[in-house]
Amino acid sequence: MATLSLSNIQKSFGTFQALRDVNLDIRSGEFICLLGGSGCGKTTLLRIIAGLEEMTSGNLLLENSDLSSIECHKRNVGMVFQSLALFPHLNVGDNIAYGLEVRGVAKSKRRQKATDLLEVVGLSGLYERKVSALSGGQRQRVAIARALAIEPKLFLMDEPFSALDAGLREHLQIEVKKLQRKLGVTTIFVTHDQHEAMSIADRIVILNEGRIEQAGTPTEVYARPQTRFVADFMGTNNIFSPIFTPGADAMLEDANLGRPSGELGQWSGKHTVAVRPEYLQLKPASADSTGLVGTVDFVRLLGASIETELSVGDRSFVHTMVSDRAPQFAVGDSVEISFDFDHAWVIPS
Amino acid sequence: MIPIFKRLFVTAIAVGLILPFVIVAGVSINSASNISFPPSELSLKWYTQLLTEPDWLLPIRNSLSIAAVAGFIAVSIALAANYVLWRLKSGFGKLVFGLGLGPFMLPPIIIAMGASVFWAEMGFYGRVEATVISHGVFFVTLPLVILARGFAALSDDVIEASRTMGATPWQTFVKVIFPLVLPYAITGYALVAIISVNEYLISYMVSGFVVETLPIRIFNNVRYGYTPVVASAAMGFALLTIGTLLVLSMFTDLLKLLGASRD
Amino acid sequence: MKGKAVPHLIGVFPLGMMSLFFLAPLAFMVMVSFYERDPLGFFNEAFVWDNYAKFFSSFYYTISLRSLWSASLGAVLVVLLAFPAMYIIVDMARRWQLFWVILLLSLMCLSEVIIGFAWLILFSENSGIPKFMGWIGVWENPRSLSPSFGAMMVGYVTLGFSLVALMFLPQLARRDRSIEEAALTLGTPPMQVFSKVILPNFKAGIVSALVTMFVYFLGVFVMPTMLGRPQDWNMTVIITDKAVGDANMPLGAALSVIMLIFTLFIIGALTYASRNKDKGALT
Repeated sequence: MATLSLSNIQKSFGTFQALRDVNLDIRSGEFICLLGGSGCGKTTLLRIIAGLEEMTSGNLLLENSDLSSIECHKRNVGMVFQSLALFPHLNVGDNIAYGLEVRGVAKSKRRQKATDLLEVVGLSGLYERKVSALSGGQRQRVAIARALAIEPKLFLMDEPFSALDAGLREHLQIEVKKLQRKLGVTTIFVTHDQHEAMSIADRIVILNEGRIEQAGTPTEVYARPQTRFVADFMGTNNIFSPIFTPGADAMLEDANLGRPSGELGQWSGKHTVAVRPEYLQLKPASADSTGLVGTVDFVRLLGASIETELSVGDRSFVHTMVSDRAPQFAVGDSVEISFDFDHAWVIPS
Repeated sequence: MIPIFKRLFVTAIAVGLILPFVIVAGVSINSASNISFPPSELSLKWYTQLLTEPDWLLPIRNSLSIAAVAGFIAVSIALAANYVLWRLKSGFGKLVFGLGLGPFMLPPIIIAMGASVFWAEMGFYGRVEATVISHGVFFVTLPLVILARGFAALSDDVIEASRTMGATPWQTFVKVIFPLVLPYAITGYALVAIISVNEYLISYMVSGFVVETLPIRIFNNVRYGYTPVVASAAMGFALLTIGTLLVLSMFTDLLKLLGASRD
Repeated sequence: MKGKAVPHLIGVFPLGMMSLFFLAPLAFMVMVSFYERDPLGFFNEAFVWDNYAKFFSSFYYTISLRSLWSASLGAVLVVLLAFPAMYIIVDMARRWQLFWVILLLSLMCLSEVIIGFAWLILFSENSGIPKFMGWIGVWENPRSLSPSFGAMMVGYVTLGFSLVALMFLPQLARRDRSIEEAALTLGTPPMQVFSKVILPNFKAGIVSALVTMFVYFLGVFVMPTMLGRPQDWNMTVIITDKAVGDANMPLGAALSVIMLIFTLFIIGALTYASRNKDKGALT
């Protein structure tokens, strides 16, 4: 059953359309990532759910009752802001207890709750500490504890880790995911980083120009992108549009890509396919190659793998392989690129 | 409901700040020789009087020349102090800079009294040079903090880059630093000049009886029976001030300069 | 390191100018405050406490209290108006912000004399508010509203408003707005966000604005003389009157020294308090 249901949500600022016809059902306890570049509408959508922004039209239902008519301060959503927005005039514990204070919870009770939450986020003993005396990671934890203190129906996070360095960031991603699983709170997390989204979300919602491009599990959006945009955004680098003819080889302009296998063998016309870098094969080009022949532009070692960038005319391709051997090709080499059509994903749109 | 209340509040304040000048403007273009509003018959005769009678022309000339030189003194002190702080970062630089902040922290009467005693002792009491120097020194704080923003935007890299290309410190200053802080210096100069033209107490206590500036002239006029020429002088003043600031706002981002932009 | 000599040499210029024309006059003022008045010239060298002794009389006691009262009331009024106004203005469209900045800068630069004169006309019975009220029939026998204590306070507020507003401008414009949004999501009713979150966060700025305005109003001369009655005149008017009117510079200097000590004490106390607070933040 859907806890939060968004239907036909539109939002415009003047003439700018920030959100166009957004439909999404979020299950209770689900961890959703809203993913997209800047200006795609992900933060606007989050702010509409929080009640900080009003939608132009559409329906927003929480457990089948209208959420949009409830004012922000009565919605009971816990939100972690990009700037964290900790109250500088309050100490750590009072920051966490703030939401309980405005709800009229007795002092001893809210103190107890704040102390418990500090322990949950691994900051026991810092109740009296000034917020300004905390490290970046500690502040994140306080912001998370403060949002959770009000036992929110929805837990919203707006790029909370964008200011942290890579190591701390990954660490906190894992912690947040574990904490969310333990508490079972429905969570919506906004990010522009597809790696972050892949590592924490149950379901990723990719937004582009105010529209949902695709919503699915991390594996789905990575392996089976529904649109060219999603394929690009998720880093499936090799995207091209060959012409298929049933019973004949697929052709990318003059290059022969070989006979498509399986279902693809029956297709005809131009279709866009995506092949992940690890499924490309490279071999030295011979003078009479009829296949896809390109030139090596760049070779780099990425720890566990070797990445080779190639260009065929004005198209570019990326190939990766496990780095248990030295790179086979050098910049300027002429290389024939091939792949198995079993590993090619046809982008439907 | 809340936005309307907010707008009303802000508008009321704006009206309170602007209304007095609307009335003054009205009085200044009324041909009647006693001060009254609304104007019964329009005339520019008070402005003509302001710009032709030596009684008014002399104070105007005094005020403008004091302002022109005082602005120059203030900006050169501020520029030197900022340069020193920027090069030395601490100690001596901070002392020089901190000294420049002093005048703004004290009530103007103390500064005026000090200046008056000092110039009396020096034998300069009643001389225009005394007013010029005092204005230049006491209004140094404004260009000082404005130039500090300019110097804060200068990175050390720029200077090192200039030096690696073979420029002497003097060449670096003339060709790199000065052009970069020039807009700030001009803004500082304009502000000091405007404030100097408008200043009353120091001019009055240092050389008020001899060197009559425009504010002194207006004040004396108001105290001892006045004609609508005062209104036209006040209007001329207000327009000059606003005009200078408008011109300034075309060349510099005033909001950024005052620290109002968000980045 | 090489090359430090030149900046030091350049530093001599601002240092010299400030010492000679800012510090030395203050020192002279302290010296002269012990001199004797010379009825024919300015003063004669001496070392007497007479000038200070005069301060301890009921006349100066009343003047002092009156100065403190008008300066503190003015400071409170100005901050009470300027803080909420700037809070609203910084969220207005850019061109309105620019309008306000130019209005405030103009007012900040504009002479006390001009502002006082403008209000004088607005308060007068033949051209301003009284005339208007008589005209619409609210006030049957309109009389001038100035000189009066109220008129003087209006003058104070107009004078100080631009200064305080420009002090608050950067703080308020650059504040993190999501702090207020966080307060909302945590359940604070919109009407309480201002008092529960914004005011406590700007306490330091508000206090320093209050002190700055208080010190500034202690030293105003034109507003009390133009818009106030003689019984509203503050210490500054008396100092000017003694020093220039009566040509009694030693007395004027002594009174100024007392005001200087008082001002330094206030600034010192404020600095001390804010430093202690910063220390508290680190422990």
